[in-house]
Amino acid sequence: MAAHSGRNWAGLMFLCLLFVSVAASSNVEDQVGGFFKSGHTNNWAVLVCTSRFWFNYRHIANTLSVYRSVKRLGIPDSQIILMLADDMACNPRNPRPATVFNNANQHINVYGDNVEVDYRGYEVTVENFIRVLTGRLPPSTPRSKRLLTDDRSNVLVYMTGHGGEGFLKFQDAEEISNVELADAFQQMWQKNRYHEILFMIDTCQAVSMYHKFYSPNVIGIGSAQVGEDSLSHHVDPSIGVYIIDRYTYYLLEFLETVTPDSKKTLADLFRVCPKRVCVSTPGVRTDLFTRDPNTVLITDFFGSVRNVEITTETITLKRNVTAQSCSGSSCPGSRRGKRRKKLAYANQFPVEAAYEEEVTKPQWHFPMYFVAALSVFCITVVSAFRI
Amino acid sequence: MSAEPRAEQRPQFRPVPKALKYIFGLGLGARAVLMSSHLAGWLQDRLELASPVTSWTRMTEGLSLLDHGISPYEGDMFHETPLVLMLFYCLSKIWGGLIPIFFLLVDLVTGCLVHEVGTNVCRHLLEKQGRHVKSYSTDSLSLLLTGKQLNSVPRLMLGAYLLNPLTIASCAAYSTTGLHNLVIAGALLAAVQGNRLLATLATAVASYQCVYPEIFIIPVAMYIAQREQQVNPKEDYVTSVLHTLLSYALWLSSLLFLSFLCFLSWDFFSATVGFVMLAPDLTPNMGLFWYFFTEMFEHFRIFFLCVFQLNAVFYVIPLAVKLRDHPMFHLHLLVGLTAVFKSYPTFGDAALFLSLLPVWGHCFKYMRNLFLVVCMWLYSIVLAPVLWHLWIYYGSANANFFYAVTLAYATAQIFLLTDLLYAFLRREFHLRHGPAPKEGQGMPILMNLK
Repeated sequence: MAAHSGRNWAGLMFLCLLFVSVAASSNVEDQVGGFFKSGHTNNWAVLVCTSRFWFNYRHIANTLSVYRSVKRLGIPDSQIILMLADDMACNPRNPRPATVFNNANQHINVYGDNVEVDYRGYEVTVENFIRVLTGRLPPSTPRSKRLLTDDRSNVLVYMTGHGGEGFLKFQDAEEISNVELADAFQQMWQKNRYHEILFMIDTCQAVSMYHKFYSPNVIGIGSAQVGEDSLSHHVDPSIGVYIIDRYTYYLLEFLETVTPDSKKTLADLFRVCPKRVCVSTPGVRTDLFTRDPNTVLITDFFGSVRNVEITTETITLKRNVTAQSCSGSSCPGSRRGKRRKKLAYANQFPVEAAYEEEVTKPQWHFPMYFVAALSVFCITVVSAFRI
Repeated sequence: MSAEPRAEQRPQFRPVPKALKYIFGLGLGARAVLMSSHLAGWLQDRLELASPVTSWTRMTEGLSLLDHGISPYEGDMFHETPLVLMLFYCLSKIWGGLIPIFFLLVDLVTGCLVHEVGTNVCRHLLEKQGRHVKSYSTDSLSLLLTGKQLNSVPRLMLGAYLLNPLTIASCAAYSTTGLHNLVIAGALLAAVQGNRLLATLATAVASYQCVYPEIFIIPVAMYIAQREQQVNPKEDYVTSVLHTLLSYALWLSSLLFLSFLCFLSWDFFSATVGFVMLAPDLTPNMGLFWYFFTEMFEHFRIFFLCVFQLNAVFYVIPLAVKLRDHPMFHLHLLVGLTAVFKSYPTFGDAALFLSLLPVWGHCFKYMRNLFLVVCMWLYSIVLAPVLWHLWIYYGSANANFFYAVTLAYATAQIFLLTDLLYAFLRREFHLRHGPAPKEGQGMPILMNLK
């Protein structure tokens, strides 16, 4: 009787486990289904500081602070393009050499030991910036200076410096206009170089820079409206210059609360730095963005969050047909999908073909009509001699 | 009718043949020695001797392109005329060693042509003197030319051409400047002989080969018209000139048509004439174009191109007006003018003009700048390679140094030309008014060329 009951219990246990596992597996399916909500597979960041000279210390500090946050949240150096127009850490006027601080209490040295600057000093030009974005770099450019994004990359583009209505000043020598920037992003779109872009700009009259965007899946956040100046936050008297801008200061305050598994969304990001603390009115442009910003995680842009779960179960993936975010051929107005040419490697060194050509190609021969005409001419000349 | 050239190979005042043999031997021997030495390769790339039009390196490139069945005019590399290309193609196919022999022959023939030019021009000068002697002043007997004076001129011209180190180096560099000099010398000879068909043919060949000799047709036409008027005073000057121009146009168009038939395309036209006219290649050379065009704005380029090219050809008009009675002198001056102002000159072009100087040796006593000219010539010829080396290889000089030498070279030639013109005109004046003309009060007159 006991053996029977033992077997019954075992069977019941087994059945329970079966149910549980089925339930659990369907749970896994759901979980896995949840992995593909955002549509991107890798994260890149392009952080640009366009100002040089010591009194623009705060712009370098802005960029390095965002760099630090982005690295902390998981984007590796290989996927960050950091462009700093000047070197504040080693500036002879820096009373704290080899450091850059973004706060008067000097808690964090944002310049640290593992800062990887990709474009430094005079390399930060409009041309280089646009070449980085569009990928049209000379073949000798090293990988660390290339933006090797694909159509599943979310790119964070952060720019800071001195701006005006419709332009951003580079190095006190040239400007990038909002039209050029919009065209650069469109080039990126046409080359499938991004999935979504979050464009943040902290300059005076910042929002004018995203007014001309026309490519899909781009969000623009500016720190000041047209006609407003974006102000700096505070002076560090021991360094002697303004060391952080208001918008970036409050942005950092916000980002410090973000962890890699944070569920904070872009809607929270838009609320950073209201007018009462920023003095300028930040602006947001989301009309080109197809997802609802309330559902987009901060870490979709600021971090490189990888969902890795080890499971021994086989999971069948269903094609995600929810067109919450369009990419590639499913987007309106895209040209892909119309021509499906079979891709193959180009023959790089057609040596054999050239050799064959050389052997069989006939040499040049005097054309018959030329010889005839020449003889006629010579006869004429000789007869002219005789006359 | 016109003179039959074959019957008059030996002019009356025949110089001593031994001197000729020495000149030939020395000249050709120097060329052969230089060609076979290790300097020949270095000379081939010298920009003073080889311009983008005449360089031998480009000729070999063109020949090899032709071997591969590609037209050499498709790229920006080859700028010689198609008939010359055909000629070198034949030579290279028969035997590669024919090339140095060909260049030696070219210089030999040019020397002979220059010699014949000398004899014919001297004869022409004596004839003209004979016709005009009545209008000369009685005091100017000492200025008159004599046959004995002119005896040594052809020899001097031959020597001046064959023994000139510029032509020796040019020949050893396999520069087709030698070929250009050949056709220009042929044009000069045919012009002075006065046969319309031959003169226009030779001028057409010269202007086909190097673009600038088109302006030679004006003094040639004037000369032929004058000769015809001497023979037949009722001959209309204008009709004669028009006939000359017409036959020149016919010869030139037939040459262009022949070149068209080589590749059945007009590519060669933009590569030869277009290249010389538009001067797109701004590699430093002995000319005046490159420095200006490297530094000027693109929107002024056309304007300055027109100005420079006009400068090269325009002088034919005022000279034609002033020297309407002396077309031969005009023609020789034009040879010198084109050598200075052409878009890609080399030393060989100027050397041809230098070899024409002995025939005007009777004007030398009125030349005032000879010392300056000689010094500037020597200065520029010696310093051009030196400053090039300093600029390109050592980096201690810059383009201005080299261009200064180029300017000195051009100035030397221009001084020579203007001085020669002055001396010629002054001699004409003295012929009419005596060697020491005095004003009414007996004061000697000061002569100035305005």
